[in-house]
Amino acid sequence: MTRAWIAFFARLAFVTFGVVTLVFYLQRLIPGSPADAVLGPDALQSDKLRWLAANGLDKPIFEQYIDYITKLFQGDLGRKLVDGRPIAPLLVERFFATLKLASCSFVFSLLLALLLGIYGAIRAGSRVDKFLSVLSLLMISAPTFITGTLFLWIFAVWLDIFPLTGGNGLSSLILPTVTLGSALAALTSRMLRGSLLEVFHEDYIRTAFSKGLSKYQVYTRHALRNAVLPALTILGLQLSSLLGGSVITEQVFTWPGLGSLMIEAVNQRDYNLVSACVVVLAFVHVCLAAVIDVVQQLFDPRVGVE
Amino acid sequence: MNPLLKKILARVLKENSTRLSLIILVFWAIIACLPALFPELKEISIDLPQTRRPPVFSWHEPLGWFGYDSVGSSVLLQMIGGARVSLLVGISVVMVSALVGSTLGAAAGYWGGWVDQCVSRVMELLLAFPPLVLPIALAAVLGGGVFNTIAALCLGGWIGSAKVVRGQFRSLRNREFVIAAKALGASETRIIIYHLLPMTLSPLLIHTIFSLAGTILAEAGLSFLGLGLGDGSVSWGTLLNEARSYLLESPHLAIFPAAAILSLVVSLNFIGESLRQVLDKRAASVELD
Repeated sequence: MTRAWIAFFARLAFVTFGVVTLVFYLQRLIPGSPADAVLGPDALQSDKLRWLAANGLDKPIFEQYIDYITKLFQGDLGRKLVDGRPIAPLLVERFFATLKLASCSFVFSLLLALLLGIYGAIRAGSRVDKFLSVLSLLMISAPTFITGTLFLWIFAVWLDIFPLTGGNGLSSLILPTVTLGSALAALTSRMLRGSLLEVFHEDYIRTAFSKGLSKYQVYTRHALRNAVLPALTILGLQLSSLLGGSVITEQVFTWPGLGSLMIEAVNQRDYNLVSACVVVLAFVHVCLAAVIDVVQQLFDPRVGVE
Repeated sequence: MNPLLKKILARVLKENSTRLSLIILVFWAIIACLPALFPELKEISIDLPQTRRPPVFSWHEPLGWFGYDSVGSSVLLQMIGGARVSLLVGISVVMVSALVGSTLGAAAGYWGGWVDQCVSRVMELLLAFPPLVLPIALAAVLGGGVFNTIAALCLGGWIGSAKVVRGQFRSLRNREFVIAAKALGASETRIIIYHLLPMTLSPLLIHTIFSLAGTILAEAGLSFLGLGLGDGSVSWGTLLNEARSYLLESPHLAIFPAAAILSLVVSLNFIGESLRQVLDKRAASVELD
C-alpha cells in the first residue's frame, strides 16, 4: 500500500512539474521580446535592456526557468505585466468566485441527474423516457455559449427577471448555475439511467425483491449504490472541468471567475497573468483528479491503486 | 458493396432521427463546398445603410433572408462562408488527431514497455489542463488564424483517439488470432496493419464522429471568446461573437449561427450514437433490455 501511495504522489509531482515546465516554455514562444509587449514597440533599446535586466529576463533561459520554478514553489506567482500588481491575491479572489459557481452548478446537476436518471430507468421505454433521451442529447450537444445566451435572452432581456451580468449576489448566480448544471446533468442522467438498467438485471436485485423489500428500498439501497459507481468517474471529470473549463460560461454571464480573468489577461496581452492562470487551473485540475481516484477507491474496493 | 457494410448502413438508417441527421450533414457539406464552386459568394460587401437590418423575406433579395450584420454585410453569405471555415477546421483537426493519435496509441498499446510509458506520460501531462485552457493559452501566444486554431486544437485532440486505439490494442495483442499470426511468421507490421487495425476501426470511427462534433464546438467556443480565427476569416463562432454585442436589438444575428452550430453538432451526435449502438455490442445489448 505504501508503495502504491509513493507511486501516486510521484505521478502527481511529475504532472505538476510538467505543467509548470510546459507553461514556462510556452511563454517563450511569444514572438518578440517581452519588453516589447510591456514598453511598446517604440521604446528605446536602452530602456528595454534595463527592463529585461530588472526582471531577470536577460539571463540564460535555463536560469530563468530555475528562477521561475523556485518562485512558484514559494507561492510567488509573479506580478502583472500591465500594472505591476502581485498576481496571487487577485487569483485567490477570482478562484472563490469560480468555486462558488462550480459548487452550485455541481449540486444542481447532481440533483437533476439523479431525478431524471432514476425516472428514466424506472420508466424505461415510455414516452417521457424517449423525450428525455432526445432532450439530453440536445443538451449534450448544445454548447453553453448558445444555451447561456438563450437563457440570458429569455430571462434577463425578455422577461427581465434576472440581471444581465454577474456579481450581483444570489440572483445573478441562478442563470449560470442552471446553464452549467443542466448541460452536465444531461450526460450524467443518461449514464445513470444506463447503469441502473444494467444493475436492475443483476441477481442481487432479484434477491432483494424476493426478500420482500419495498421498491423504494431496493432502488435506493441496492440499485442506486451500485449504479452510481460508473457515473462517479464522469462526475469527477465534470467537477474538475467546472473548476477550470467554465471559461465560456463565465464569459457569457460576465461572472468574475478565474476563466474570465484568463480571457481578460489574454486580451490585455498580460502573459504573466495568463501563465499564472493556466498553472493554477491545471494544478486544481490535477489535484482534483487525484482526489477523485482516492474517492473512487473508497466507494469501490474493487478499484485498486495500480 | 460489402455485405457487412450494407447491413450496418441499413441498421443505422432504420431510425428516422439518423436519416434526418444524415440529410442535415450532407446539406452543410454541400453548403460548405459552395464558395469553392462559386467564387462570387466570397465577395462579402460592406453596405452601411443596411446595417443590422432584420431579415426580409422577398424573392428579389435573397441576400437579405437572414438579415444584415453590423457593417451591412449579408448574414446569409457569411453563414455560407462560415460553414466552410467551421467544417474545414473541424475536419482537419479530427483527421490529423486521428492519424497521430492512432499511430501513437497503436505503438503504445502494441509494444507496451517504455514506448507506452512515454506516450502515457505525455497524455497525462496534456490531460492535466482543463478543456479549452491549453487552446486558449496557445491562441494567446501564437495569435489567431485558421492554421493556428487548427494547431491549438490538435495539441489536445489526438489524446482521445490514442486512448481508444491503445486500449483496443492492449486487449487484443495477446488474443489467439494474433498469437496464431505470429506463429505463422507474420511480421509486426503485418500483424498491426492486417490483424489489429481492422479490429479498432469501429471504435475509432465512433470516437472520430463524436470528436468532430466536439471540435466544431471547441472552434466555435474559441472564436466566440474572440480568440479563434481573428484574421478576417469568418466562422459560425465569430458570427456569434459579433452578435453578442447586439443581442438586445438584433437577435437575428445570433439565431442563425447558433441554429447552424446546433443542427450540425446534434446530427453528428445522433449519427455517432446510432453507429455506437449498431457497432458496439455491449451498448447494443444494454439498449435491447
